[in-house]
This record gives sequence, C-alpha cells and structure tokens, in this order.
Amino acid sequence: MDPVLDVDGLSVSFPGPRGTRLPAVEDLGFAVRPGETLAIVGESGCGKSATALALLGLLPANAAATARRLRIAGTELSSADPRSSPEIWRRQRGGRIAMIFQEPLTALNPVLTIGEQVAEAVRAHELVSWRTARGRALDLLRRVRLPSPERCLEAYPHQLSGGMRQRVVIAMALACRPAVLVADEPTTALDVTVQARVLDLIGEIQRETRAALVLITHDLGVVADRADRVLVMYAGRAVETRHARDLFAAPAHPYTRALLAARPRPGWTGPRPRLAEIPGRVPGLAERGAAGCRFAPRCASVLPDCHTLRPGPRPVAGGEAACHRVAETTEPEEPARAACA
Amino acid sequence: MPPAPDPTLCDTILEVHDLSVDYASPHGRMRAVDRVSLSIRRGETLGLVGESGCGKSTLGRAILRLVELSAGTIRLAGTDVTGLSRAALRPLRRSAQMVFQDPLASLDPRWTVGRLVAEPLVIHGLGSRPERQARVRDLLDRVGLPAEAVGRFPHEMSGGQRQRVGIARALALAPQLLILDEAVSALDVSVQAQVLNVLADLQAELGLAYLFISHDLAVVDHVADRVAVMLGGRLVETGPRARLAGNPLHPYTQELLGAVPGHRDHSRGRQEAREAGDDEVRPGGEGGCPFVPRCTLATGQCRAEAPPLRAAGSGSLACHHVALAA
Repeated sequence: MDPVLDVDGLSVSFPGPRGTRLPAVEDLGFAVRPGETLAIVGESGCGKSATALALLGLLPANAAATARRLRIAGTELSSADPRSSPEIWRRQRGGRIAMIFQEPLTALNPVLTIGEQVAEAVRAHELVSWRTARGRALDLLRRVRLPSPERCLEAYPHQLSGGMRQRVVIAMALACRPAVLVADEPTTALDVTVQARVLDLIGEIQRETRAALVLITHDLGVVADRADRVLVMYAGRAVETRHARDLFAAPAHPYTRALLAARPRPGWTGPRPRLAEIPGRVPGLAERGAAGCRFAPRCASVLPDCHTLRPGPRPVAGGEAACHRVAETTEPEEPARAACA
Repeated sequence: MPPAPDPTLCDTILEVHDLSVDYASPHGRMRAVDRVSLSIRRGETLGLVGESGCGKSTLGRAILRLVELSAGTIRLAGTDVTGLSRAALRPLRRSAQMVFQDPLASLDPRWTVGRLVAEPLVIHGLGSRPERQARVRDLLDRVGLPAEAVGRFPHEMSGGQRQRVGIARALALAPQLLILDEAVSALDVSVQAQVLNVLADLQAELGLAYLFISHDLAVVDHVADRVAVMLGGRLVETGPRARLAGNPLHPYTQELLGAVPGHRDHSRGRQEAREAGDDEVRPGGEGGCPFVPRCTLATGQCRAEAPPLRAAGSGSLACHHVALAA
C-alpha cells in the first residue's frame, strides 16, 4: 500500500546569533501507510515536536522548514511554505492531517462550550450550518465514548476530567476525517489507567478509519505497546528506524541501546540493580557540529570515524540505523536483554 | 555543622497513625487524606503510588506539617510532632526534608546554586561562613555536580542538574528522611537514571529513609522496598515491592499495574475502548470503598461500608472480597 504520509529530507532550523541557523531537525525521512502507527521517540531537544509542527505547517514564524519531499494523502507540499500559501496548508490541516495536542486544557478554549468548539472544528473545513455541525459534534463525542455526550456538549472544559478533555481534543482532530493523525505526547499529562484507555480509543479509531498515526512520545513503554514502526531521534537526527519488534528485540544504534538500558526493569530480584547511565548530555542547538555522529561524544562503542564522518543509514533487520558500527552491533545482541519493553 | 545522626535513635524514622487531612471546598469539607497509617525505617524506601487527586502529595506535605492535620499523629525520629508549634517544629525540620517535582519552580531564579544549597544552613544558624562553603562543596560533590556549579544560576542548568540542586539543598541539614514528591517524573529517561542512581548511593552512604511519591509504577518498582497504594485518600494495599508487582491483590492495584505501558500484549486491537469517566472515585465523605465506581467486584457491602485496611503478614489490604494471606 502506498504511504499516506511521505517525508524526505525534512529540516527545521531556528535563528541563532549573528545570522546563523541552528538545526532542530536535520534531513529526516519517513513514510507511514494507512492504518499504520509510526512512533517518533527521543528525549527533550531531539526535535520530535518540531517535526510534528512542521508536518502541520504550525512552526513558529522564526523557524524555517525545508523538505525534498513532503507528500500528505497524495498532495505534494514540499514547496509550499505555510506563510506564502496559508490556504493550501489550512486545507491540509484538519482535512488530511490533524494534530492531537498534549495538553487538552491549553488546546481547548476555556470560555466556549465543548459543543461550540467541536462544531467550530467541523465548520472550519465544511460548509455546513451550525445545526448540522452541532449534530456532527454530538456524533463525534459519542465516537470518542464520552459518557452522556448530550450533557458534554453544554459543558465547559474545566467541568471535565483530564481524560474526558483529551477525548474532546481527539474528537476535534477527527472532525474532518483526516488521513493522517499526529499525536504529540497525547497522554503524558494523564494517569496510567486513563492513558491506557485513551490510547485504546486512538487505536480503535485508527482501525475504523485506516488513518495513519504519527505518535510522538518519550515513553518507550507506550512505543512498545502501540507502535508498528519506530523512529528514534537524537539531537535532531534519525539514528534508527525499525519495526517495533525488531527494535526492542535487538536495538542497533548505541543510543537506542543506552536508552533502553536506562529504564527501570520490572521483575528484578536480589540486590537492587543499578540503572545504566548515559555519560554526558544532549548537545544544545548551538553545539551541534555538522561533522560526525552527534552521539559520538557519549557513545560507548565509538570509532575514530565517528567524530569526522556522519554515518548514513545502513540496513538492519526490519529497518535501518545510522551507525558506523552497525554491522557488528546488531548480531551479538541476545534478544532476552531488550524484550522487557 | 549539622550533627551526625544520633545512634541512640530508634530504627523507625517515621510513624504515621490515623492521619486525616480535610480541605475546605465550596461544597463543604473534602477529606483529602483519610485515616492513613504508615511507617518507614532507617535506610528504607516506601513507595507511595496512586493517581492524581488520590491525596499522595497532601499526605507527604502533612507529614512535614506543611498542611493542617484534622486528626492523627506523626512521630518523627521518635518524637511526636503532631501538636508542636511552628517554633518548636524548627529543629525537627532538620530530620525530614522534601524534594519537589519541578526544581525550577522550587528554586529562586535570582540565587546562585551556592546560595540555594547554603540557605537551609543559614536559616538554622549552622556553621561559620567557611564551614558552610565547605559543606556546600561536599553536598554538590555527593549529588554529582561539579564544584563550579556553586556560581551558576538554576536557569543555566539542565533539568537533571537542577533536580540534583534540589536534592543537595534537601540534604544540607543532614536529614534522616527525604520525602520525594514526583522528584524524577519530569526528567528524561537517561537523566532519570542518573538521579535515581544518586538517590540509591546517598541512601547507601547515609542510611537515609525515603518516602518516594510517584505515579510511575515502573520507577517505584525500581526504588522501593515496600509500596503503599493510595486511592481516594486511603491506603488500599501495602506490601513488599516484589509481592505487589508480582501478585497485586486489590482490584485497583491490579488495574494500575495492568495499565503500565510496556506490559501489554503486543498483538493490539483486542480490547474494547471503554467510556471516559473511568477515572471516577467515590469521594471520601460518602462512605464505602473509593474504588466502587470502577470495580467489577463491587457489591452493596462495598457501597455501604469502607473496607478496613487489614494487616496480614508483611502487608495490608482493604477489600471486602479479597483477603491477604498471613
């Protein structure tokens, strides 16, 4: 099946001192097919949220985004600057691609009722009367399984719980039947039990509508549960793109391995195990040189080449990894080590 | 200088008995913490888990007398601190300190790290200026910060470094108990690992006791010796960490563990998405078990009377339908 979202060479930069540009995202490429879930995972500052905003043309005005290819549901957008052609982007947003934001309290307007906001989302893309839009809003609230949806239409955001508000945000994203859903940390602010149910709901909607999902998260557990494929980002670049099963069974990039090892593991016995640390820290935007691998200064298996040559993507089981060591590192990994996702 | 821990002190650092806290709300009094009893020994970590609004942070604050108690007693390092005035409390503040979730919100942005870490010593009138400076250097070293950090400001540091400053500050008075309220929740995985390792080292070196409050069960399972599960202001289950993680008994503990990401069947798509409103809890004042609205085992008895927390073996359980083996 053809990808519904096809991205190649996506870069995002922000202005730096003395006319320089600071790279937030560099040369990123990925494709997502209908019904598929791609997780973009990484720590703060890796560029995952900037990627999400670039897909929707929602980057702040001082950011610059370029791409060799950005195709969403058959429409080529790589040449379409959101500022010069706002109308094209507005039709994409909501119509073909929609975003589920992290913090429902900020995404919702506190002085409008839920019904008004969802109906407005419907009317933003379809020429329908308020009455029709309101009817659609009610359907959408049923669809996201809000209890007593009629009452919710009249409610204000503060009257709903966090989980219910996130369902409203999802309903708004679904208003115009998007082919691609981008969810930026959709459940980070929620309790685990509510998180599980909201993610179940997103999965259910995806199965019904065959929407592609780009799930942006820092939570490797969520990735293990929900993603078909995973793109791991470090300091603005993709380090590894794999099928989820392959990634958790045998992570290929040293950063991915370090990240998985740093997580607490369930079911330990005997003396409390020490968590594996990654020495050093993520380079800031201004500290990112173009040469070499960004992870080289912190890497446990660094080679001389790593400091000078930027590793290109190399094929590994179920995907690719950008590492000079990749041929050696994938094989000796025993699967048991990473299976405890 | 802060005194070394008194060797004559008993093994139990914290003993809380039947503690209740009420908040005034527009709808009358709301019981945030409902007759909670717990204890922590020297060198031990008690994990306190539960969802937002369950009262776990209020309980942590109440133990330090940062909020008013409605009932109950608190014994800290052998002394009953329940009725003490603010002035009388002061020396006791040295034995228990708190570390908060957001270090940026709890550290004055205009102060250097050196001044922030020295502040508790100044307030308690401990040491001369050079002694305090030496103590600050020692504390920064203990939490893994470089000596140059003394002259930096919180905003110049990363989240993990700021949290280390928060921990150094809490350690300045050589406390025996640290209450850590979501102390690593805002940190990235790799940074979280560093801070958790620092906490483990400090505990081993100084024999500190931790009350580790968190919504993150994976982290609690890593750090805790025992775990207490809180819901609707009450403890519903306590026990050794391995038993709780391996064989949770209360229906709420089971729900909580079943929802931890990374533990689901990889073949997705089998579960039916349920309705929202699923974060509902029975309010403390109404009687009955707080889990009634979500519990599949709930009966008339559960609605009528709250099950008492019954101790058995090394743990306790509050459920009419499940019993804890002795």
